[in-house]
Amino acid sequence: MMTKVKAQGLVTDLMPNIKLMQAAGHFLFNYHSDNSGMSMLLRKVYSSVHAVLIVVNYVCMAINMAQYSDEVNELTANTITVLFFAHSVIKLLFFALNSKSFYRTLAIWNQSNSHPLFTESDARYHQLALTKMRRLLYCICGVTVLSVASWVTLTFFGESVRFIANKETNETMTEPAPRLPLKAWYPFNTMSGTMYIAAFALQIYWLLFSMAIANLLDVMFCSWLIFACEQLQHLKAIMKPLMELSASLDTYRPNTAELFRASSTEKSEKVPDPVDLDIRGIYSTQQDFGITLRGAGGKLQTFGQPTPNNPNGLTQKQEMLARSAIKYWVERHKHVVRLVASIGDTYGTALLFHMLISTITLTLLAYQATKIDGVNVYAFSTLGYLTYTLGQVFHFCIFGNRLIEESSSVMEAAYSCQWYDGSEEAKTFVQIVCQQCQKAMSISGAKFFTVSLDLFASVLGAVVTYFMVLIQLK
Amino acid sequence: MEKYSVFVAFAPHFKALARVAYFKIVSKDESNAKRMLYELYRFMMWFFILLYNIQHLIRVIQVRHSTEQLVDTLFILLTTLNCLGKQVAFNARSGRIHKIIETIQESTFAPTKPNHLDLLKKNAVSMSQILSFYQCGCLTCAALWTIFPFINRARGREVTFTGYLPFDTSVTSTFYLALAYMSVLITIQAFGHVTMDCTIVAFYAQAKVQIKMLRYNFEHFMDADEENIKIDTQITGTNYEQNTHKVNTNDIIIMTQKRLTNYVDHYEKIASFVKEVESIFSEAMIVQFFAMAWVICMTVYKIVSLSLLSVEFISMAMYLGCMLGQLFIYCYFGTKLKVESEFICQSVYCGDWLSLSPSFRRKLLVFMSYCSKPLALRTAYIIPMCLDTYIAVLKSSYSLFTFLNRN
Repeated sequence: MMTKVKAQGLVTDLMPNIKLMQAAGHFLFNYHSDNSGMSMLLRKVYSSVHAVLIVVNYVCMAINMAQYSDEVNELTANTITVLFFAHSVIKLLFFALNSKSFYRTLAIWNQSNSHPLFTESDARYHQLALTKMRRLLYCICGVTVLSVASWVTLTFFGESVRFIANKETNETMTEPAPRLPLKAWYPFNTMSGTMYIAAFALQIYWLLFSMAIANLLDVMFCSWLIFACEQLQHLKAIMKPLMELSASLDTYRPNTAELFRASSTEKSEKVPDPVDLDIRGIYSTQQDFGITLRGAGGKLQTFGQPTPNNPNGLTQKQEMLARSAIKYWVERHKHVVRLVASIGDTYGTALLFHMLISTITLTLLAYQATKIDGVNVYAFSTLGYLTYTLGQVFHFCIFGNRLIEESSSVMEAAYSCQWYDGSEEAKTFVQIVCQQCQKAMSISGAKFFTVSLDLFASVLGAVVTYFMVLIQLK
Repeated sequence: MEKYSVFVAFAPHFKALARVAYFKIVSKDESNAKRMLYELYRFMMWFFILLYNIQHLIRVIQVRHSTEQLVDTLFILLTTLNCLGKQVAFNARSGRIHKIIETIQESTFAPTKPNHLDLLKKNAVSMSQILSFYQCGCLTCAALWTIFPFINRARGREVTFTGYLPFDTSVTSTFYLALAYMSVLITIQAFGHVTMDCTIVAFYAQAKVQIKMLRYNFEHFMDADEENIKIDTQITGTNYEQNTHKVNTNDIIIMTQKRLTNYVDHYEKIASFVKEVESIFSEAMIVQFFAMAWVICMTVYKIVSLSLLSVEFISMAMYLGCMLGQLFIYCYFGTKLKVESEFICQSVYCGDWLSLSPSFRRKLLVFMSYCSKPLALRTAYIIPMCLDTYIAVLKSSYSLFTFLNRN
């Protein structure tokens, strides 16, 4: 079922990423401006063609690996390459199978609440998030293109050979192989001539598109995390003015009409509250509120004639304002919690597969690294693989770690404002927020591990340990 | 709301257990004769299983100088000892197990909302699927284990049984007798073992589903349900109409108080249920952990010396896979329970506590502080039953394998 054309929320922010993913051949068929049957069919054909080409070439590489599996060095090198590109195939399939939950996560922020006092802060942090997401996208795109370029350049250096084990003498011999970026079995002879050029072109295309497929999905995941972190920053920033505003809210008056709402459907988005809408109608600028947000609390109180039914001296509008500000804060925080939960559900399994394959790849790379004997093509390619794989793991670990830190630092922001001057309502609000923030929001790889810099450190430590042990054993 | 018994999730497990005389839920309306017959059946089962284990123990002592045969016998002996440990737990503590079954069927654990019903039904379906999957797996393995001696004998190779037998097995008739005896017993034990594992895991899964139900309740803490429609319609006016205000506030306070009491009580019952299950099976889990560690070491030691794709290698690898699969369900459901209980605090937060008075919020806060400690299961008080443990086991066996391979 195709969703509406109008792009809002996260989709607008991530539109360049989405467009690039569509261009790279992911099965992303939403968010187009024109949804006619013909163009939809064309897009499906486009994605299927890409998918077929990528899988077919991958299978050719696997056949090559099986063919030349006698000699240990050749087998190890081919296994590393096959595992390296397994990420792309898995991510392509994963997105195709799970696209519904990706769309759901992208749609979570379609409707967000707002409060006239905090729109400026909201806009500022949203803009920050946008800048960071764009910068990340450009950076990763640059890295991808650079990697492909350096891979192709490296092909032209060194001997273009493959290792064969001589069965009689048990030595390794070298046999000439086509000078192509990737070792793969093709049904036609690629040693020279037009078939060689065709194979070379195919491989350049394949390298670019398969790396793009894997990296763009990771960038989308990290962009979601950046967005969630900036929302948390916004909430931390407005905590102080919020506490000052609510400091004078002394007596609790339950909003009885609100208390018993019928339960809404689980996954429906939060419709902005009628209370919020009223305020937007009443006030247009901050001057109307008649208060300054700096200074000690209690500025809301008018010490003139006490209004009846109102022991703390606030007018109905002012009381509603203070309460709605707290409500805005809490609802926005709950929205972020929902977003993070959805991100975890959507991408957790993909992270698990990624870590599984990366662990095996890094183990093999550590073994390969012990055989480096000088500054040559072998050294460069091994170090290149190593840096790239570790870089991929680092990429999502750092953003996962940032999320953990941001979500637990909300408690510090709550503590650093003048909560002791606050009303009972404000103080219990701070208490509940602190209790909730003791459990940091984190992304887990299908409950097997938590995505944080600890994970990266343990992976790096394991690789280094393994490398050292192997060097000793040599 | 239809009546749904929470025990439905456990019905296939206890039926299977009763079939192999491992554990039976005695219903009041059974005739004496039937009960006597069943007791006889149970006695015979126990006799043969103990005999089987003693035979293997004798053989271990017999072949203690030959590593090859010792390892073969120890494989079977350790697995059956593991199974015996759990069987003893089920039988020696049957009173406590009956008590927790009664707890499951109490009203605290019963579903009160349509969402609860969905959760319980889904849980029942997945539990029975896991049980069928593991039962099929174990029957396949047992069948293969029976076929191998046949094939080996047809090929003319000497077949030695892993248990001590007082007669010579090279004669065809005694060979088939011994084979039938060994395979039937190992099949029964494997079946019982797998069913007991799935039953214990079903207890954990039930605790997890109950926590899910509790979380749902808290997320919809301030929602109206059928009883409260009456109160809802009386609420007219705005904040400042004092007349309706006083009447309704009291009702609301009583209702929210009642809800909170029920939910706190529910959590208490779940926590004590988990603790009780953990303590009933604590010794069995310790036996399992040691047996598994030993078996993994021995399997890895054996696999290193075998070439790839030989029949022996495949059977060793399959055996290792079964052991790891058994540990996996414990660790997986232990982790699920822990993760679910960590989110209770978040569910209280996601409920509508903003509409509540500061004094009521403080009550919620006490509960939130208590819930911040997750319900984590542990073996022998030190080994947590979670996926981290599982990954540590995998890592250590791989390191052991690599280390032995180099040497």
